[in-house]
Amino acid sequence: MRIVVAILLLITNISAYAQVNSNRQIKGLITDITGEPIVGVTVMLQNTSKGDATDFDGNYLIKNIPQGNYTLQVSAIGFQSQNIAIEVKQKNIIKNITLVEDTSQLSKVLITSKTKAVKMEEHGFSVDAIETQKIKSQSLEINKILDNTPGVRVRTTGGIGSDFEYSLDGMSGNAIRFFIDGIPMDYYGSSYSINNLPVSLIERIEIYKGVVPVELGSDALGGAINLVTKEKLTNFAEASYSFGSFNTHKIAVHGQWRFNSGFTTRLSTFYTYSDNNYKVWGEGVFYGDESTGFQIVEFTEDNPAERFNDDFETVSAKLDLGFTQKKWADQFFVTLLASDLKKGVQTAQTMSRVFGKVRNNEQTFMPSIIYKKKNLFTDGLDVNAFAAYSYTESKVIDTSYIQYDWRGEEIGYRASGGEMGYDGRSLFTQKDNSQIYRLNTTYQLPYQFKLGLNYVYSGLKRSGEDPYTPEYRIPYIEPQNIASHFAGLSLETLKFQDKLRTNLFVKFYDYTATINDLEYTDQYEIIEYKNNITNWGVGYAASYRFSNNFLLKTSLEKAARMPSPTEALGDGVTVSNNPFIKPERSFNINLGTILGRYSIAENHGLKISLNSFYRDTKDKLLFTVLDARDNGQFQNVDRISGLGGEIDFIYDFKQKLKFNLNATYLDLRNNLEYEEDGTKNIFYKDRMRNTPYLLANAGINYTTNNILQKNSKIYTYFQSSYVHEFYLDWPSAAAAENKRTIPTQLVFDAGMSYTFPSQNFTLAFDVSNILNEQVYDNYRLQKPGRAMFIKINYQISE
Amino acid sequence: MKTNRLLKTITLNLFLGLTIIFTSCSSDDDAATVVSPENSKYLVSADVDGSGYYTTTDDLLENSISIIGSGYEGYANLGASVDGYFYVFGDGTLEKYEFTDTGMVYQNSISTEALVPGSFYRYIHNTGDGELFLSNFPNEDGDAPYAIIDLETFTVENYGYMTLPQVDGRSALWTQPIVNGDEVYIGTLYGDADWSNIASNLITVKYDYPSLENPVVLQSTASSGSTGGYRTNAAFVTETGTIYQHNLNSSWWHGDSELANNPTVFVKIENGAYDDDYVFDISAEFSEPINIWNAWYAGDNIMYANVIKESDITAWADLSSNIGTLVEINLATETVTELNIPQAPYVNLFKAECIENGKFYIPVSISGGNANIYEITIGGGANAFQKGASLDGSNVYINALYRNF
Repeated sequence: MRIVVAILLLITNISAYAQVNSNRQIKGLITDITGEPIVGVTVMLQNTSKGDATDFDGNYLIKNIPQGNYTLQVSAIGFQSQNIAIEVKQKNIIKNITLVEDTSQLSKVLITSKTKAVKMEEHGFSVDAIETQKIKSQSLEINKILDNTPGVRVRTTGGIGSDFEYSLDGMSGNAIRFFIDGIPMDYYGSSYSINNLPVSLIERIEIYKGVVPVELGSDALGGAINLVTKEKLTNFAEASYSFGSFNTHKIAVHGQWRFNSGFTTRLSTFYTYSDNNYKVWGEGVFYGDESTGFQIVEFTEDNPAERFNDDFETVSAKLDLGFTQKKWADQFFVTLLASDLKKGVQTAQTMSRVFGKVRNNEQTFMPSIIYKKKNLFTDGLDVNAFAAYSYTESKVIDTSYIQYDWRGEEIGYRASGGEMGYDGRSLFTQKDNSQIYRLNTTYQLPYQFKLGLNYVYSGLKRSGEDPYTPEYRIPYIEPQNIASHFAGLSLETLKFQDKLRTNLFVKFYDYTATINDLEYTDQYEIIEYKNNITNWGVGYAASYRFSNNFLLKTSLEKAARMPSPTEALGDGVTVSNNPFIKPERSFNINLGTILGRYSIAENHGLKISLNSFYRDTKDKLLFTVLDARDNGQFQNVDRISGLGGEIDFIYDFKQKLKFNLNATYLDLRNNLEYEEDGTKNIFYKDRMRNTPYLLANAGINYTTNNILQKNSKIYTYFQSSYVHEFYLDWPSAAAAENKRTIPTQLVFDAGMSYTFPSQNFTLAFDVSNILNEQVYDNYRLQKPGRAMFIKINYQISE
Repeated sequence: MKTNRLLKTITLNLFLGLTIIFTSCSSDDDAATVVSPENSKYLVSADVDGSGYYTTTDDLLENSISIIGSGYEGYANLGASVDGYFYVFGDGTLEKYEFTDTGMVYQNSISTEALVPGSFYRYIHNTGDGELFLSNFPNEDGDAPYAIIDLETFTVENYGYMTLPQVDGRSALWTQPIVNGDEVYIGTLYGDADWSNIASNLITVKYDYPSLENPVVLQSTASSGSTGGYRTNAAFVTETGTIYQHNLNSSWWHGDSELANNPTVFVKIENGAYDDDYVFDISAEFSEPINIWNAWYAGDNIMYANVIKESDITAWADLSSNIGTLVEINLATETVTELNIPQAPYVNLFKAECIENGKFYIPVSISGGNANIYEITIGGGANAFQKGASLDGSNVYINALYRNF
């Protein structure tokens, strides 16, 4: 805490210094006609040397202007230039500008102003950024979109709404943290998670690998995914409805209305339902009864089983009420988020155990406040503050006395009830009360240095109740707590005509947990363990652009991450708490280059990105199965390290036809030579078990205009993804022919959308897993086969 | 059906005295009649950092045994090796494999999920009569699941729940069976459902087999504690059909420190009842309180047992440290001999079913040290053993050893 105060004092002093030297200035926001901010627009005062280029958010600032009349020259490739007369009289002049696309220029030059995504990738961080503009009309889940990105692997356990795990360049599990507009998503509830959010609500997805910037204020050490939502200044409304295989329906409505007074309302709501009743067969999918002498009969591709307790339904609404573009705030919103989720649970950790009645329900209510202001109190001081309270109630309903098999038939009676465990029926309600506070500030220093501070506090109290309380669940009924402080300080600079970008940062973590354990002497007794751990992290990111087509970048971080609430406190059902859990630590290095875009002849373009990385993780938090029902506990496992590389190749023809190919190879090894008790580890140097290590994606998309109707647009894509076979267990254990494997998967998806001439209405069609392959991300957990979806999109905007 | 049952019983009795009750520990004569596929004579099951593996070998003495690059994934500590086939619990199944020259070949599975909804089978007992008896301890209603698997057809012959009778108002908390001809004896621990009010005597429940009807409660006042064992069975059928049984009377097992003062004993069951004239007080052979946590029958009235001093246990996890001592117990002469084999966490050794040419083979996996197979000369005394083949490394724990041929 003393450090935080010291940093704030430092910033205050710097602010005072800057104020003394301030003069007249012009600032503003430059957007396109849809209200989307434009990055990299040149804004110059004619006949002076004063000017600026818009930042990621489309803002510019020209300082130290003497009083007088000027002409503001605004130019950006791909947009019509503007000359705007302006009188500089007041101390602060705000001039927002809207640029109009220059289609004739585009067709000739084939270079556009850099999108935010491209600019992001030029930072020293190993980051990919995906603009969702072209794909948001499709029936694609965010998980699917990200899965096609270099170095990213999303492993799902089933259909829509199923559990998932991200892997970024070899780091996986909770080492990967998710953010929405820079706010950790941990407390938004399962409904408002990355796999459920409609892509149409998202403007851009940023994927940080290995090294995470300070402004994403959390203890992510393996990577971070930041979903950036729309922040338009204009009024708009969008609605979409998608329906398709497995009785899947998705509705999303998103809109904004801004009054002249600056009062602004936003609504984002979505509803998703799916039966997820896809066909499964093969290993683990069997039945056996008296007619077969209880010998198992496996279902086959010709006679598959149908999932029958896997339905998923969620509805979520987020309402923002506040002000935008006011003198005192760029944005100030009070937000209410409410969500409800209901799902069937079809299987345990593998399909060998099938459930017929187990269900999960979850409700989240989350009020929050956000405040954003650029140049607060003084020029160059930007503040972004967020505070939220979250209440999540999740229920595991496992009260059935009936045993089901894959035919969906009742085959037995469980005397104690409950399908998931051996301890009888359960109706466990978990209650999470959370608070999160975030303060993010940046201050523009002289000589193109920028100081950044990010502070996040999060605290969670978890308790539960169960009318059928077995003794082992007592620790989860009494309150357990977890709290963490995160503070990060960064110094960023641009040098040598913006060719060199560097970002040096230091991070501080503090973690406190109160965890209950159950001990038995002559009766069961709760023992409360308190645990406090602090850690420091440090890192840097740098890039140097040697030429327009050649950029080198590198980043390095020594980081830690605190155990998540479920890792530390358990979930009362399948995950036990761990009073002795420790933070996971990692040392990550990235080295990469971006080559291109090279223009070849007149119409062809080529861009290649290469990235290599090193990871060294200690005390990795891994879920360890402890009983025959696959229940377990998160435990620290030492030690995993290794190298990896990825390549991303993009070819375009007139920027209408685009072909991309990316591949990732990981060589992460078990580097624990001796265990804690001094015993030698026989799997030392083995490749990491249950970890995909060779991934590739290839895709082609084509955009064309005026085919069926004038001003209409057709977008088509064909995408393939490949994951090489990998072992469930350590590769050197057992003979190769006897090993349990997650088989190679090669999946093809395709889709097409048609945007009508009004540009308001888009019709899209998607088909996933075209060849109806039997696909697995996890051992004996089959994913859906071929599925088709139609989506209708309608949007209006000022 | 009844005729078939009677025929089987007569056949079994004819061979009693000629064979040891566990066919996996069969005599040389038996072994000579079955051709052992290459590299299949023994099966070694291991646990490495919480994952299970197993492999087969023809040599337990000279060379090292490795799961690196050979063998199979999965736990095999709960299995049975019978007549060239290996039966092992899988993921909701009981799986059958055949030993062949090219390795173990999967045959078929029985769905244990369908047999025992809401529970599982903890014990797999080879009756020696072409059947496996699967069982678990009782649920809170006192019903213990069981299934009888006919090995010839690999189908379920009988299954359901045994309702253990209440004894003096107490319920059966722990059970483990041993089949002896047309009877099955269920070793038990009795008490209240919350494991209080533990019975102060030894209780065994006898049923007709395989009907599992006509329960008869057998009681002995020789001591207290469980006659159902823990990892291993606490009851053994000798070549003459006599059942010997020991108790597990640790306060760490049943929670009653007062009852834990009663001795560790071997008792005898003959003609369907406890023989009160035979009580072999094992505790009397030691200077401080001890318990037998595991025991293996080697034939000729010789037992090998894992003895742990009560004072060496300060927490449950201590059982997995090097506090187990192997002793040789002669049930006929009533002598106990401590073997000069290293102490190890023998409590996690589920099966040691390997007897050949008067030798008993047992894995010794030292916590923080290496794992080896030891060859013990049956009845040979404290130093009649040799250290045999070693396993891969020091984080390997051998949790079962079977003789297949």
